[in-house]
Amino acid sequence: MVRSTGASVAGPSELILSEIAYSPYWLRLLHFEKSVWGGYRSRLDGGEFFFSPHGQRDPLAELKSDLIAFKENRQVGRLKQHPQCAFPERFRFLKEKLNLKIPEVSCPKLKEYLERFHPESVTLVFSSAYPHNPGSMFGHTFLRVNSKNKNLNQQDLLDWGISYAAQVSDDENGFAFVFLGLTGGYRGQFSLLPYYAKVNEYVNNESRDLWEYELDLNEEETFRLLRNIWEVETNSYFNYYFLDENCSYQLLAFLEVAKPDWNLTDFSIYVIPGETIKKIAKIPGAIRSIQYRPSLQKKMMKHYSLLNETERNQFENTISFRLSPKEVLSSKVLDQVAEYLLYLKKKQENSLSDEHNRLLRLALLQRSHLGIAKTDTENVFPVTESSRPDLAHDTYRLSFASGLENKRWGDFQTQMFHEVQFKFAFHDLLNNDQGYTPFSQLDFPSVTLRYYNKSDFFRLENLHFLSLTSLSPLKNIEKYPSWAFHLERSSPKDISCDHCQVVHFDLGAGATLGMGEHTAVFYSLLFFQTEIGNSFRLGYRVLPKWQVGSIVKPLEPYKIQWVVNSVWDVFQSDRRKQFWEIQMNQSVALGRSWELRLITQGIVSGASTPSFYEGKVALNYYF
Amino acid sequence: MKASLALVLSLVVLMPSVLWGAKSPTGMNDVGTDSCGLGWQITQKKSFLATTTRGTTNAFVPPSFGMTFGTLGCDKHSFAKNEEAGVTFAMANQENLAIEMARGQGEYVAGFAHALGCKNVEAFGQMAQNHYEQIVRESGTAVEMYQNVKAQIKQDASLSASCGV
Repeated sequence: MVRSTGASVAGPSELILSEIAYSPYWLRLLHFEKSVWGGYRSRLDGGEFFFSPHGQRDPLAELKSDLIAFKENRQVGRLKQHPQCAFPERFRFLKEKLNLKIPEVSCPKLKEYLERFHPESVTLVFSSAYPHNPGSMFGHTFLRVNSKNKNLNQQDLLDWGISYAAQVSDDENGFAFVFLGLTGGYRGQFSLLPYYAKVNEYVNNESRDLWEYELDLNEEETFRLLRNIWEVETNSYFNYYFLDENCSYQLLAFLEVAKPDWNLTDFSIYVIPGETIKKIAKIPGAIRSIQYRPSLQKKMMKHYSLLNETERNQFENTISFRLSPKEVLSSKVLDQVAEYLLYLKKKQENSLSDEHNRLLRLALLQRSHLGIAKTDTENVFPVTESSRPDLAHDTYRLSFASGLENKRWGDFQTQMFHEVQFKFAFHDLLNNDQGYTPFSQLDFPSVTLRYYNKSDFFRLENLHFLSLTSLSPLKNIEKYPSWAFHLERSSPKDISCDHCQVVHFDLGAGATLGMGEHTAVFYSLLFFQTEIGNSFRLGYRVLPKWQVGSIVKPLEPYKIQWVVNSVWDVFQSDRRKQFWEIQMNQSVALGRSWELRLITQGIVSGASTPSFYEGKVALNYYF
Repeated sequence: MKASLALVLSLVVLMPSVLWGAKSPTGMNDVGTDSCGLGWQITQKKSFLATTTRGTTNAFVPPSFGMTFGTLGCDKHSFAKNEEAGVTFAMANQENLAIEMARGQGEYVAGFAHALGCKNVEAFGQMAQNHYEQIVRESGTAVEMYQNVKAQIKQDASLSASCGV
């Protein structure tokens, strides 16, 4: 280990300094982590975060240099501040620990920054997926500093939000974005915004829900967090890595500074924002309360569902210009009209037609004459366990299955097999939807190995890359298409080849009908589908299909799915052109980590051609 | 090894956001016709950025840098320092305020009242509803709405007292 000898300290002994330098608080404050070689290395990647030339790797050398710097008259960092102002939390900590007699300088910029907060506690805010886009199910997290200067009914719009994100210019090209994002090519950056700006951004403009987890931080702990963010943001930066050192990870690292007895950052490979919520929720007493802010879309749909028949008619007649708002005497209907038009405006890239603008104006004027409504429509969104992201299932999956396979061709008859599967993430159509977008799928790589009794070892059954499915039920005032996408290396079951492997790709679109509140969906999708592999005469085949399916949740932890595919093998000889794939799948969630599935599927085609049946029982473990 | 695994995995992780990017949210730029955007209102993002991460154009700037008006194109209006909170709130929340003031209540009305320094939120909401037509003018800007509210408060003795005007 490199020890700086340049720093000579008169007062405290080397032993005491060393004790402090390797104490958890100092290490966290400077964002040190233990390297594989046993030493320490700070995750801060640049700027003027260290006074010692060895500071990034030597906590003690840095501590000694800091003690000198705090006494010097110099200016450091982006804001050219005195070291005491640039590193206020380090200064406070060392001053208290070592009982330092260093005169304090005044820090006007720091004061102006801290003065606004009047902190009472901190809330970790999680934003869920965009509607109709399972690709965004990872979500995003940011912090809100809760002020104690509040009116009774003012809630939190005037609090401050702090978010951490990659600093990317707006015109960045997509490939550069992906490449640089993965390799740490962007700098992370904190931004400070009033919470209403965040609410506008997520809830109104993007129609995403916000989950607000108030954390058990007191005023002083919150100030420590704020001062440490100040130290990083005004002097240095982290390189931003999408997978691990991303927004969620870094926020956890700062929360660890505020709460020295919380251990939050020992993640591996990737950090999904939703996972950070679960991580905190596992610490007893860490979460004081949970609030939920539904997206504009959900609010509007919910309020619509609460209207009676007459009110719905009035609403629909008003928005289709058959009824003038001046003739509407129900404040509920007018509120619904205004909410709908606001939603429409956000959906149409923030613009409304002149007619709609006039309609909104008339509706609001009429509404202002109807007095203050007694019915409170804000409390129709209780925080329910079925939607809380902190209670959602974990994302890694290990699966063990056993089953029977029957191929009606060649020498093979019924045979038994065993399967092992590992999946990196995330959520599929048979999973318990608690905390996720219902009836949607976002699946990342998984590998499935199969062992047949007759053969000697495990064979690769399936190498899955990516699957996305969005089944959005059509609704009266909102109609979105449903779609699906799959990319995998799999073994086709409709042709007579012995465990051959092909690359499979399909992309489909269609429509979904829903029943109840997420009780059942019925969908119909048309797919373009292609497979590439040596087993085909041409090296590939094109097989468009029509899929009809349904998922029913009669009781919460139980799901049953039927799928019927009518597949057309375009380049196949006439007799074998068309075949059917039929599936019936069931799943029961056993608590949060375990799940039992029964998967059955069959392929039926013309009389003399191969048929195939398979059934398996799978036990899944999520961790 | 971890790095290469991470790279492979992440390529796949990012595909959905690239391929299936949601609509680009543009709301934050539209703050009426005042043509004075606050620094933090410029958050136009590319669609694919929005899913996995977020591109922000604002820095974590001290208040003396970003939250004042002079440098942000609002020169045609002059506001006292203590008016900042109210004007900013009106500009960022114009649409929600227009809707909630017609109702005479709501969290935006309450937030606006607080930003204006009004302690009696209910009276403020009632006033906003009663004088809705004078406050929320057809195609009026957020700054005009703010000024109309101030004018109405001044005409109401008890509200003036509650708002410390």
